[in-house]
Amino acid sequence: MLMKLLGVRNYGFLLSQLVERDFKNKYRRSALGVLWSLFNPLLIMAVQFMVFSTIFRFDIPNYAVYLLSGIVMFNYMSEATSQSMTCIIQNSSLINKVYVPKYIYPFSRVLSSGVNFLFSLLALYIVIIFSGMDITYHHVALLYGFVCLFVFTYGVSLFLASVMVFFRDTQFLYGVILTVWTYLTPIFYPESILPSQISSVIEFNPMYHFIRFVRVIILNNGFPDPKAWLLCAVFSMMSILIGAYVFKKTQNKFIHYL
Amino acid sequence: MIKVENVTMKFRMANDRINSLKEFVVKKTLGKITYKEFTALKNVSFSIQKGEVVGIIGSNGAGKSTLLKVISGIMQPTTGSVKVEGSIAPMLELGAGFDVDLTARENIFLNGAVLGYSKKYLTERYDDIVEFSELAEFMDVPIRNFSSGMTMRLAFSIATLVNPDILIVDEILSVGDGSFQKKSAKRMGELMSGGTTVILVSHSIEQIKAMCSKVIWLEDGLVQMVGDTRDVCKAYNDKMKNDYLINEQKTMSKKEDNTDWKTKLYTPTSIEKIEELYFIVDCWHHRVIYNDNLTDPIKNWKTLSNNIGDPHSIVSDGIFYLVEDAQLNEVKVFKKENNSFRQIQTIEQLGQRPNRLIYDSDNKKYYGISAMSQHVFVLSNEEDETIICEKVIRLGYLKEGSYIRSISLIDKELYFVSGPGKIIVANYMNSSFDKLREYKVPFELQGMNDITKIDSYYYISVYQNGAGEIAPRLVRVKDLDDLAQSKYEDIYAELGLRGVPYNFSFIEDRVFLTEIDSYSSIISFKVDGDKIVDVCSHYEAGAAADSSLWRRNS
Repeated sequence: MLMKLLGVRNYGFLLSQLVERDFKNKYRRSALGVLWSLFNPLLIMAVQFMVFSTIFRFDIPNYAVYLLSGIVMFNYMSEATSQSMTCIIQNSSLINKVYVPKYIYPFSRVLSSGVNFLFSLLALYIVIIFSGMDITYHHVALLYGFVCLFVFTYGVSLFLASVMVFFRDTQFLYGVILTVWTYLTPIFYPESILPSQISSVIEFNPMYHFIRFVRVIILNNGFPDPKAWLLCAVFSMMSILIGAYVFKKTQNKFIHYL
Repeated sequence: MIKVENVTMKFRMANDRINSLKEFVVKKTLGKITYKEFTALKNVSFSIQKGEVVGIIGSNGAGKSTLLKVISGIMQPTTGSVKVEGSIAPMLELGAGFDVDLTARENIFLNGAVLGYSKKYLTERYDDIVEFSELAEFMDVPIRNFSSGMTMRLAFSIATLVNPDILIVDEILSVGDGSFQKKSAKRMGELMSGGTTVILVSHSIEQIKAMCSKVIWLEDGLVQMVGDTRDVCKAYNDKMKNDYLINEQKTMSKKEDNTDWKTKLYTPTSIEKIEELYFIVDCWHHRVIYNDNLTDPIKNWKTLSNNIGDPHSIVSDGIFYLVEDAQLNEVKVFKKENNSFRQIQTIEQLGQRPNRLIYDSDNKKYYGISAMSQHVFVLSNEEDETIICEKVIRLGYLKEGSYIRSISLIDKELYFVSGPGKIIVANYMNSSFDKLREYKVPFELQGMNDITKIDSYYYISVYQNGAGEIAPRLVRVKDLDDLAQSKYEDIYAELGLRGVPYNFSFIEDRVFLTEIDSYSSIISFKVDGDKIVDVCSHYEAGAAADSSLWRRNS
């Protein structure tokens, strides 16, 4: 029992070290360093805000917040999964030499992207405050949305990381998928502009539900309906179950392909 | 502490690595994916107690590294189980898991974390690690700026200063400069005596002998031997030496001109002159060669046959030429036709290892002895058409299990030497082979080769002593009864012999003696009033060349 407890603690330390490494490597030799985590989503938002609010003239109240909330959520997912996809391959020297439970590697990537996510969240709140919006007690429910997003992302990461070991062209394919996914998610456009056939497809997009869940809270200052809570839970559970299953099934073979 | 039970590790590898989805789909649908199964470990079981220092030896590809990976949990065995208690520090490759962009300080914690240590513990040991590595002033420098020696020093310090329960070492690396090497060896010693279980893979048997209390020998994924360091290392060394020799011979045979051996002799057991031709039986080259001139170099001699397994002698009645094949247990009969020889007959069922043929021109019969089975056989010429076998008998007085190298005719009597460890004289004229008398010989003469009589002396060549050890001698004695008291004259040195004297023969007025085994040569001399004069050496080939060794075993 004590050993087990010790074991968990050991890996906790390893995890923190790995996250720290990812983070340090990301901003090594950049003048602003960690501040980029803050500026990056803000700048993207600024550009998209200018493009879409002037050219397309979407009639969305608090468009800046609408836009940024979508960007922050979607960027977290795409960054974390892309990073995790290559983690097994990049850590091959470690995997070949030392035993460490392999799920640690995608987990550390999801976590280090999570730190980034926290900074962009800070950016989001800055914009919320500047837009003069209220921050009510409903915001507590955001945590639920974030946890679901996190679990979902980890599931996708596990899946991609193991597939990537066997088929190296996964990364190129996934790049294309991410682009399609971005457009199929109402990040910068309102749901209302979608034709009815597409909007029924959108129902199957997990990111749509996560983002919608968050937007309802931030923009409407209310709790989402029970169906939204349920959908978020279902999608994240599905993802983690599939991801974990695939990863567990294949992880012992990784070493032969590295 | 560590218990490995029936571990089998199989790899199923696709023959060509498929890394793209397209390739996979295409090949899978075409059924073109072929797998090669490779078993790296086969049913490996052993256990290691706490505090033991265990060495793993074996040739390249024996499965040593796979075994280490299975023990340290990097690989899961296909079947079987591995139980390990305690923390493992694998030093499979020093510095694995270093991130070159991070500073030394950061890497100490990262590497420590990878090895499974807590932050608190690493913080405690940090100063020791830095001090041991002698890199204190470089702690805030990214590893990418380190020399490889500095990196190794840091890695070694991390791996060994954290006091792991089990240390796995794949080849002890000589880390750093001389003084650091000493320090690291001392540190390894401390760990080993301090109760750390160490598993060490090394190709240096000396290192294994110096450090390990127990050794596991792997070969082709199988455990060949587990046990005491000395026993296993000895067995391993013997095997390696053997393999090396075989390999050497193989490469030699490929590398060297295969005809190289043809210019030399290797264990020439006999030289004869039959009619106008000289014959040399080149025993361990498996051939008989002939020439009309004794002074020509061997490479100019013609070959009677080079396909006889260990021939020892050639005899002839002028029509037939008989050579025994000691390996196939037969006598081959040749006939001369237009300046060449043709094999016309094979006589079998003569016992095991026919080793010597003689021809008695008085009663026109051939006599032979099979060394291994103590059979004596009598052959004769049937109207110049064929050779027939008149008699094969096994003589009761030739001790069973003995090895009789030769028979000789001296004064109308048949002499058997060696084998029984004495000289036995028999009556052969009536083909009864009744024993007439026997002479005891001392221990040092018991492995005799040949006996002959020249003037008033009996000359005896000797291969081995009574214990079967090679102890060549050449002695002469006037009365065979004196042998028992070792009252003989040793003339080995007088004749300048260097190998094993084997067979006597008489060509014109000279006595020829062949020299075999460790030193191949043929000498001749004259005997004048019992004085040996005019010693002369022919075809001195010396020790066997590699191509000869290869030829002997081929």
